[in-house]
Parts: sequence; C-alpha cells; structure tokens
Amino acid sequence: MIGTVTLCAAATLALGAGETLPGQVDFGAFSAPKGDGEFVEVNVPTGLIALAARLVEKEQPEVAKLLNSIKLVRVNVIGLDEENRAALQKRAQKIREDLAGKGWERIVTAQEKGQDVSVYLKMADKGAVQGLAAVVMDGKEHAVFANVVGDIKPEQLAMLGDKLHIDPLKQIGDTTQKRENKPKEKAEE
Amino acid sequence: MECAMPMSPSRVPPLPPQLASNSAVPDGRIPPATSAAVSSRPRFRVRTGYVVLALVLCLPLLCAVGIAGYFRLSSATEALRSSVIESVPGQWDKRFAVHVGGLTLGLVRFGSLFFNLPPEPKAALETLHGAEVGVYKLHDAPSALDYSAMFTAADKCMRRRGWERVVGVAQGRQFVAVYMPRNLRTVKRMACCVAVLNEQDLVVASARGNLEPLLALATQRLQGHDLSLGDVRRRVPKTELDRCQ
Repeated sequence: MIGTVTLCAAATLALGAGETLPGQVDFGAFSAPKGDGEFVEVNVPTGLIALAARLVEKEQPEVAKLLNSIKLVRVNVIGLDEENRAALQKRAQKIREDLAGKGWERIVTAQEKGQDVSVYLKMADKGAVQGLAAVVMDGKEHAVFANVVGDIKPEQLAMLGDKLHIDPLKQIGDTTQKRENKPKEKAEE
Repeated sequence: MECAMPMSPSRVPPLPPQLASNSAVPDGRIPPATSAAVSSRPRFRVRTGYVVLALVLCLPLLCAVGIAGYFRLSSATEALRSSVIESVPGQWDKRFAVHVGGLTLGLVRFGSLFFNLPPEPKAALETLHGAEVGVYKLHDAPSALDYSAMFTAADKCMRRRGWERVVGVAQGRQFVAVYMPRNLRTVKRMACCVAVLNEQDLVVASARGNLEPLLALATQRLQGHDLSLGDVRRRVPKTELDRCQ
C-alpha cells in the first residue's frame, strides 16, 4: 500500500504555498521517531512538476496536462514505535473525522491484517477533483499521510491509473467519473 | 601660431612663475595648448600612478580572496551545516570544503568550446553554474539523535534565507534534508541544497544552474523509449493495496 501511495504521489508531486487551497488538508507537523524509526517527508515544488511535465509532454501529453494541473502534494511516512503509535493512531482518526465533516468523500476503505487504508476525495461543483487525501495505518510499522491538491478531472485520474498501470487510481477515476455522470443522466431522463 | 584675439592686460590671468619667466611667451598671450598640457599632465600622471599602485597592491589581495573563495561555502550552505552541527552534540572536524563558482565554471564552459566533447558532459557543463561541497566528521558517535530538532533547526535557518525543505528522511543513523528555493519559477534558475548525515559523516552540498540543456538532452534520449511504466510495473510485485482489494 505504501508503495502504491508513494507511486501515486511521486507521479503527481507539487508543493503548496502558504495559503490553504480548497483541497488542502492540514495534517499538522510530524515529529521523527526517537529511535531507529523511519521518517520521510516529501514536498516537491511546482517547478519540479513542471519539469516532469515537460519531460513527458511529447510522449504523453495527457499525463503532462495532468501534472500541470497539480498544485500541491505532501507525503509523510512515519515509522511507528511504542512511543508514537497511540498518538498517530489518534491523529489519523481525527483527520478522518475532520475530512468526513468537511464534505470529503471516502472512496476507498480497506481494513485487513492490521492495515487501515482510507482515501478521500474533495470534489468541486463542476466535477473536478480539488483534493485527494490518503490516511494509512500500515499495521504496526508505518503511518502514511498523503495529500494531493489540484484541479484534476476524474477522467485524468483514470487515465493516469491506466497509463501507469495503477489499478486503484484507475478505479478511483472511474468511480468519480460515474458519480459525475449520474446527475447528467437523471437530467436527461 | 599666435592667438588672434586681442586681450586686455587686465583680463589676463596671472601666469605661473616658471612660465612668467619664460622669454619665449609674449606678455598677455598664452598658447592654449601649452597651458592645458602644463596644467593637466602632472595630475593625469599622478592618477594613473595611483591606479596602477592600487592595482598592484590589490591584485594579491583579490587573488587571495578568490582562492579563499574556493574553500568557503556560501551562506545558505554554511547555515545548513551550522544548524546540523549545532543539533548534534560532539566535536566536529572539517575534512574539506570546496566551492566552485560561476566565474570558474564559466571559464571551464568557455574552454570546453575548443574541445569536441560528447553531448552528456557538454550538457552537464552547461547546466552547472555553481557547486559546493563540504565534508565534516564527528569525533565520537552520538548516543542518540533528535531528528525532529535537527529538522526544525535546519528548516528555521533555511526558511529565513528563502529555502523550503522538499525532502526529509531520517532513519537509523541516517539523516537527509533537501532544500530548494521557495520562489522556484523556472528550470533555468534551479538551485538545491542538501545535507546528509550518515553515522559520523556529514556532507553538505549545494548546486545551482540551468536545467534546460540537461532536460533537452534527456528529452532527446527519451524520445526513442516508451515512457509508460507498464514494464516496470509488471516487474514489481503486487502492492499491499492490490492485495487488500
């Protein structure tokens, strides 16, 4: 799961500015574990995204377009130990509650063998994805918090998942696209 | 040739004593060219002399400053180094620090024009506009490292200088922090500052340059390849999320 989240994030990394964007989630500051625990924090600036977009724009213009629509990504991976496990589980729970309270749609829920995965989407009125947030408690090893902010069209998400062979991302895109199409179909009827 | 304009004796400025005593110059008639040469030549000689003297005196000083610059880190890199060193208790030894600036690299670029270099090193030379690296060693291994404090201290001093951390990794005895300028707008003026602490060794490095030539080369090379991650993906085992679903 961590690999998938990291891969998704790595493909769509960007750095946020000081102001809070519509799809931005404030996870708060994380402290590195005291012992030998893992701590990874990634914030890649928009300039690098633009660079990545330029790299693929000739071969895959759709992916380049998607990359250019990303405004911010933050990924935190924190190793769990006896000291921080309870606090991080509590924080993950609070973030989930906050997201649900703020109108984010929970589109992926996976709980198996100690893993607790939640993926949320923030949709704009016009159907575009304003933000994607993932909260993962990976058993007793890691906690992952990821946030992608941009103005992403659902079909772009599905396309990215398809191009990169990331089925979960493709499913998210398809699901979102179907949801967006439903009101249109009803209106036509 | 004499001056044709008649001048009244009352309007003539007083002559210097050495000229006044010169019998070749008639009273009240001063050749303009001679007057200018007499008044400006000594002054000009003095100024030139001073400039030459100042240059002769300053040249060794400028050379010394220039040479010392090769062994001094820039302020941002120095600040990052200080923040990490201050966060890790113990005695640090400087192994070496090298700074190659824009002037030196510009000269190297100019020199490379006379050689037929392969495209890769040529692009690398065109890309790099400045680079520096410093290596430091801690005498004794610290008992415990507070990575949070290290990140906080480094972030604080770098943010003050307009740098933002883009990557932070801490695991075991390893610590990595990568910073980039906050107002990064174009690949033409990229900069990056890195601190890596591995056990007792600290490396701080920084580079700045124009990524356009390297990007152009990479794009050119990638054009013949399939950028899809399909092949990579097929080699990677199924992820945990895949298994969950």
